[in-house]
Amino acid sequence: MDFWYGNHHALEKIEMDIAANAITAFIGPSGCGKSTFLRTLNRMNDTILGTRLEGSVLYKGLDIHSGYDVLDLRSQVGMVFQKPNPFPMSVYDNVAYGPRLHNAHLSRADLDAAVETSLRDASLWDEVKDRLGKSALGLSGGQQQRLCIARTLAVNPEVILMDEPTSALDPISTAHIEDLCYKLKERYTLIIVTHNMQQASRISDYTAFFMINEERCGYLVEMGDTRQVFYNPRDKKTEAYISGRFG
Amino acid sequence: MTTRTQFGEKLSEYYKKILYMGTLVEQFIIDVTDALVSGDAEAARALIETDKKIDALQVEIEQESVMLLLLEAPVARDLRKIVTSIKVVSDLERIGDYGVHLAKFAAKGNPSLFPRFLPRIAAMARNGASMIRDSLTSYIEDDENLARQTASRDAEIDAQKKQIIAELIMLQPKNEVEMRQIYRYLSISKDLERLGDHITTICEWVIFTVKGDIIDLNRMPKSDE
Repeated sequence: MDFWYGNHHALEKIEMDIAANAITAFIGPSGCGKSTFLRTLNRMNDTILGTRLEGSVLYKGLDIHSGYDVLDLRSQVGMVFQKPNPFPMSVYDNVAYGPRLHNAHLSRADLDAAVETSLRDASLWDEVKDRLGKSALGLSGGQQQRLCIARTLAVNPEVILMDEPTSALDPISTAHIEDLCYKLKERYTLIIVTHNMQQASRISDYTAFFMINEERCGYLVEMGDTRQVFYNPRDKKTEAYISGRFG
Repeated sequence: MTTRTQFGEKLSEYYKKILYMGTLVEQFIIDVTDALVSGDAEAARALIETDKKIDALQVEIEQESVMLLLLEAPVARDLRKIVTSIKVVSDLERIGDYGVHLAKFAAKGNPSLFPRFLPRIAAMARNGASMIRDSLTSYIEDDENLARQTASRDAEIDAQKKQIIAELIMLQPKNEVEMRQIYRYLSISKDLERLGDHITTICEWVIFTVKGDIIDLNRMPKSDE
């Protein structure tokens, strides 16, 4: 696929398969289109005026533009952002928001169960079970990010997109999120944009390296098993980038 | 100018140190061989001290290797080359030990009762020393072809050793002194053959640096220990 912001060609000839129940990391320098590409996967770029996609993005064999209702797509392909963005409401209401939106007739018991399950799956339940009614804004940064993950899980996605999920967090919170990713990949497919190459090598199964050309258009240089990309990359540009040798 | 210049400088100094260690080992083998052939027991005795320098360098380089891995988090070729370096210095240290065996024998100063073997043993040792040089060159330059060529020369040392041993075991010692000397020559020949094997290992690790594959180069079945 190719992608444009207005007249600016932002992504060129991106072709890849994303493995299910695995963690795929997107790495590359700033401005190379990793986040743009991530956002195409659940049509978040539709919210930006003047964008255009050529080619196709298939999810479970169906084109995401013609085969899905966009809201359904976004519940199946959820997203977590760099800066935790809990809603200004209670912890409970944050997680219950999505299930309520999708099913107005859920019983209280079912909603309670959904909230607890999501918070447990996000490794946050023990820390918030006694303060579910309190504002989510009172949580720490790491807890807020796990809350955002719980919120995403509450609508039963199959894919979770994460755009630099730990870059705003301290090392301990980062470690919690990384442990959570290991746990989540058993049931979900995760795609993570990261600037932290050690994070990519630590937790991902596959790594895709993007670069930017002279026309400031992003392209895919190489994608493969993370061990191979970091151990013996095929492309010299990949070797230079992951070794930190720029210029 | 590329980034990570400090890392680049650290690596440059690190590789130079390993090259220095290799040069020391190469020269050690040459000097010990010269002392053996010329019968200079005093020179041989003095040379034994070189092994302490070689051992100390191995420890120093291994510690630096760990620090590089810890502090610089190298990946890809940088990582492979540092891992290779740890293996290379271990092989060089073992080669140094074989040099010590040769030096200790030469240091005894006993006249050779079977002088026809001395030049042949010397030829094996000098062949080995030249292979040390070439294997270190292949290591510094990441030269896969040179590594393969150097490893293939191990066959020469193996053939030399086989011939010497075949002749030694046919000798009929007249007394215990002769028997001991035959045993010494057998032992030295085996050491020099193992020296060749260690150089082959260095060459295999150079290929690992370049290609990322751990391979087995022209391994002959080992003779009985």
